Amino acid sequence: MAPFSTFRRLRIAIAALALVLLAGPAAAQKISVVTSPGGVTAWLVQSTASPIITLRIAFKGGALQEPDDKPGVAALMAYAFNEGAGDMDAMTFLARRDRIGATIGAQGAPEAVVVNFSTVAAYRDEAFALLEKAFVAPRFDADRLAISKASFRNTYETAMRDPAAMMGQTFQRLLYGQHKIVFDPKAHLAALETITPDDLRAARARLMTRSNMYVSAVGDIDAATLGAWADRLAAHLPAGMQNTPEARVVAAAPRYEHIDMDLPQTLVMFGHVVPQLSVQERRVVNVLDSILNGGMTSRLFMDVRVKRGLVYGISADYAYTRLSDAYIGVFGSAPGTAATALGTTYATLRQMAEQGPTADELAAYRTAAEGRLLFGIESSEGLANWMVNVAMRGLPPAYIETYASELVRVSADEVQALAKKLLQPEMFTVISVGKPNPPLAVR
Amino acid sequence: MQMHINRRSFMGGAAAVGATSLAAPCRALAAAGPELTDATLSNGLRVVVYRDDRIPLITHQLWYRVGGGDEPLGVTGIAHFFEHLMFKGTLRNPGGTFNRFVDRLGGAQNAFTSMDATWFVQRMPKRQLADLMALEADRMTHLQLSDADVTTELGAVLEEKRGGETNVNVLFSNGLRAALYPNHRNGVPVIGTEQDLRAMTRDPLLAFYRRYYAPNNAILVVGGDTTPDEVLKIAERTYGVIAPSASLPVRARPPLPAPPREPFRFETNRASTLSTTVYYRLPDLADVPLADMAPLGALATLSNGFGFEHGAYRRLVQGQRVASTAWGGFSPAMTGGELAFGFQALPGISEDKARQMLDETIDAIRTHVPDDTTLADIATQSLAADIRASDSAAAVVTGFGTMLSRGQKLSDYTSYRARLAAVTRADLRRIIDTYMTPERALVGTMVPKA
Repeated sequence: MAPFSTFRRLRIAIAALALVLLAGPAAAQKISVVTSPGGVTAWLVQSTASPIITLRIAFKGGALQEPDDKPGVAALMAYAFNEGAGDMDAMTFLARRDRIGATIGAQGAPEAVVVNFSTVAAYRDEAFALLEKAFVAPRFDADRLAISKASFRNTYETAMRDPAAMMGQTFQRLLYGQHKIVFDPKAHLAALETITPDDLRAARARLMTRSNMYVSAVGDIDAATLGAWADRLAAHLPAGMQNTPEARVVAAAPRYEHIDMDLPQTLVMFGHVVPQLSVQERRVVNVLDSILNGGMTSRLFMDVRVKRGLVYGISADYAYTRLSDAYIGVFGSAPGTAATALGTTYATLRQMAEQGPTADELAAYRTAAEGRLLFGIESSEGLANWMVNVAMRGLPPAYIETYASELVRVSADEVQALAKKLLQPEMFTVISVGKPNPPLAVR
Repeated sequence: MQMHINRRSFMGGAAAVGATSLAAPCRALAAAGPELTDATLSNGLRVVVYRDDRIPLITHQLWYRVGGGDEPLGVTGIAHFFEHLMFKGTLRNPGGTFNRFVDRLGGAQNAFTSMDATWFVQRMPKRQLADLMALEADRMTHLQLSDADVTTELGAVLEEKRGGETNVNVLFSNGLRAALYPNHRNGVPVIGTEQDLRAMTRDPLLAFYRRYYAPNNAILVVGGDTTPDEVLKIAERTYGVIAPSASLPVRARPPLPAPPREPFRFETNRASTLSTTVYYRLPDLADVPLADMAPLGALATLSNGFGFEHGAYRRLVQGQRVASTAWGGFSPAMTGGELAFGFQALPGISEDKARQMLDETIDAIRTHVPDDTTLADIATQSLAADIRASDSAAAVVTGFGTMLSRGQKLSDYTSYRARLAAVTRADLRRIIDTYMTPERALVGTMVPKA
């Protein structure tokens, strides 16, 4: 019920986080790199401003490293992370966790298995004891596996029926072909039936090891305690991981596909695979994305929504994984206006590629950057995520500490050069869902 | 205009928490409750300031006491539509001036409409609070609106509505509410009907604006790195100079219709498994005793969590393994409101079987009132969750705005922890007998079409 949809939230949040550690009062937030007695490295922002401790323990690899015949096993294994440990069955474990208001869970994301932990400092020992137990003695009980399979089945079945999800999957397939980063709910559904508790144990032993472990912490915890904790967790993990070689996605020729469905609104996705961007280009793209759709005065918001009322929300931006770089946009518009909305979007993107940002836009971005840095500090979760992701990419803490100053130095020429590379509607693959009339003109 | 400010300050948590069932560390934390100032300007604007100076940020929210529930049938959606139109600019700050101000500071803004309120939100670095308040005060009475603004924004609102309706859960929820509240405003989504929206023109929209957008119909909540003195001083010279509305309507809501007897059934090929929920319609918020609010919240929580074996989750998902997920929910509102329990069935479970499962679950919840240990756990859990939530000043002040705009007291918010900790088995027995009755109940079921 808001005038501004949430499409942009994630990117804005990341941009804000990117600026957390620079300048002004925020400079107090310093990243320490802690090495534990046992040799585990952890990134720490210690702060007693609020009585909360947040940890991220990420294991690089993730679903991209699953066996081909067991898609979904990383997610299922991560889901089982809090489903009981040692002498505690799942209900006992979860009830104890909830009783002290702690967060203990894990996600099997495409690029990493990430363990989330947070606790009110007053309960830190009790909460950490639960976390440690989950590391030391996971149960993978067959009855809980059956229950989580039911939940996963629902997720996959829904993804096969929901128009937006169907669009996303089909678009991925058009863009990336048979590559592993494509989420295929049918294949996941078929594999689900074959996954056993032993598969979860094997996935865990392979995906959660000391050599691919990255730790970040934010909040009311000191370096010594963090180091001791990291050692206690790492002690129970296997040492190394044999990575399966990974291939990058290959750009395919532009295509258009339409899914005919009776919907009140036509959903549209567009975009293309782009060459891998450099570290500096990834800074520049932050500026470009922000000017094109970073708020209520951004170009796409103004051109497609405010001036013409063709959409409620629209986004288009750069998205990457360790195996893919792409530029992708999405919007929904009435069947009668979807074609106009796409045309307007293309015109806005082309204009940016041809003329670059205005001096005023760049100036506004710079002053905004100074303000945005504060938002990230409000969320320990966001800061912990960002630190662990930068660490996994092999970049130093200095990358975070200088990020904001690097961003405000980005020039108009750099933005335009990148715009030319990314904003090429003639190269876009397009998918639509609904009943657009007139049909979309995708080139 | 001369200012007479009526204000009081109090600490929220300290006095509130004394219950013995709270674990010791939590009791200590609870003592650090919110530091609040509550004032009213002489033109009727309520001002609440929540100080949290850990980060040099402020959250500024202006709440108007008008929402979808205040619209007569026939003009549904006007409150939400007007929320959008409030971004169109004023004579002094035309077009996107306000938006540019926020964007340039790296702030974030949005606005929301519920059945009970419309509110405008900015989160920004603390400097330039005065400029922000001047801009928000300016658009309370000086909005400039052209016919073209109305036409263009109608397009965006209709896209918002259509976008929602591409989601099967939204379609289910819309149908369910229509069944739960037949021929009543509650039965139509906040966003309104397309027919009503298309009939809206500039003049009636501006009449709506003049009627409801006034200081004596608004609540300002500011949280973050600022002081009550600073906020009140700026409020006086920005909002304070605006004359109150002399013709503010009393918020009289039409009485609730008699609950329907027929269950709501929604068959769709976009659902994969059956899900079913029983909704108990509650009285208007003003008619629910304060003593019942915390027990209602606790009762819903028990069915969501893992700690109570007769709650919906433990019974259906873990115990009988007939559902993939199960839930309880409590949603109070000025008009109506619901206590709900439901589940998503495993594939292959028939409608008859699901109905039986639901009946048995409700029987179990009615029969097995939790013991004192379980109740103490709920209180501890809720307090810890509260402490985590109060990590964000924005979340805290949103809680204030929500409650004040629908007529609750600030003390209802600050005393909640203590009231939850004091919930007894007798309280639960009472609210179960009062609210979980067949005449209040409507079952809604989403059925997959083969």
